[in-house]
Amino acid sequence: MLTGLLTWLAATDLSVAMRGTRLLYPVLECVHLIGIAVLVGPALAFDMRLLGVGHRLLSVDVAAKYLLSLSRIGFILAVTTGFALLVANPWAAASSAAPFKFGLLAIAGVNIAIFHAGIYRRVGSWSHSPRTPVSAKVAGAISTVSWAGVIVSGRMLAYA
Amino acid sequence: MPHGITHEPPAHATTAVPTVPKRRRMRTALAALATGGGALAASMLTATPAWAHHGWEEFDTTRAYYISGTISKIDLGNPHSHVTITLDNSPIPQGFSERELPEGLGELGTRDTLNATRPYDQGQEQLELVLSGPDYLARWGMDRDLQEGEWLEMVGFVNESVPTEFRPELFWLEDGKAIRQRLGSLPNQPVPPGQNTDSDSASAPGGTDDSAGGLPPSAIWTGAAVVMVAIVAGGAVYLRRRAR
Repeated sequence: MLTGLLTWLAATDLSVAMRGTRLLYPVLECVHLIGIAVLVGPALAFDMRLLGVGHRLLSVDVAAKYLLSLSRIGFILAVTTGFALLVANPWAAASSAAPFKFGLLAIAGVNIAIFHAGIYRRVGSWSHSPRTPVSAKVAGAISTVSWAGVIVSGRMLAYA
Repeated sequence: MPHGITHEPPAHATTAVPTVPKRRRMRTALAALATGGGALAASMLTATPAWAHHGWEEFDTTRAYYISGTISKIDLGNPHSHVTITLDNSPIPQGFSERELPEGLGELGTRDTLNATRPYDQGQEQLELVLSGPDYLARWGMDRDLQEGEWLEMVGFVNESVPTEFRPELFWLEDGKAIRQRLGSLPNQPVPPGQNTDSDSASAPGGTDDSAGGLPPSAIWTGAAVVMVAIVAGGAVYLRRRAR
């Protein structure tokens, strides 16, 4: 079924035209990389703060407000170019690395939802504390590992 | 930013006065970014094709050639392997277009390529083959290394600007084993030799027109640029709001 879907997508006018546009693919890849940097860099910095790094320098709510705004912009950039890359070359999604990439993305997303709906609602009570709650630390660790995994499996799309 | 993260007074209290120089600074930064991006894009568009070897756009996929010969040089690597082959100018074998295809290639239309294959007549004695990297070679059934002196046959396409470069869609080992080399779709469908050989206006039945879907590259680039600029500009506005 996946193959049928990919075959159909690859045959669409847009997909054909995008493949026929010289250097479009590598340029989209570059912007995708920039998006990933702006998404994962600040997210990692925030995760480290959740794990306790820099608690004397800045509070969790300030770190969240500043860093996660940047991350969201990177996310939009990465997702938009990611969809464009997928339309231009649907066969990447047939790679054996694809389930890992999308699975890890889902884990990262669920982790964000749980964090913001849970312990982060009471951030006021622990924002300045030298010790972050265990559930916040777990969220930071899951985030770090899952985003690193998304990058690794994403790169493996071209090789596996 | 001399003193790290600071809190400005609430947004509604002060908007105009203290933000003016900042806004100018941001505009300068955005202009610098746009200039840099433009320069980068320009240098990419004028760069030689040597480093941009992905996809099939550089190959004239309207003309599929059959070639065979002996390997004289092997350079396996990522993202592509390079193998030099000395041609023996064999004719297309009997039953060529009915050959069994490796898994997956049937859905991609390789049967059409075989039906449209013509003998090689471009005058080179040696061709540099662009093959997939070692991982993909293994995945597509190459369970040993290629050897110098080994005989191969294949169907593929000539680079539009480098006549010595040839990229096969699939190749066969001497024992008849077929090794797939194409992952996705071709930018243009191969056209059978009898039909419409004035290559650039190739629009045979079943083939894809050059300006496929009526979407010229300029429209694609404009669309991509508008979306990217909108995201970056929207992001800049969002950041400023959040940082108040």
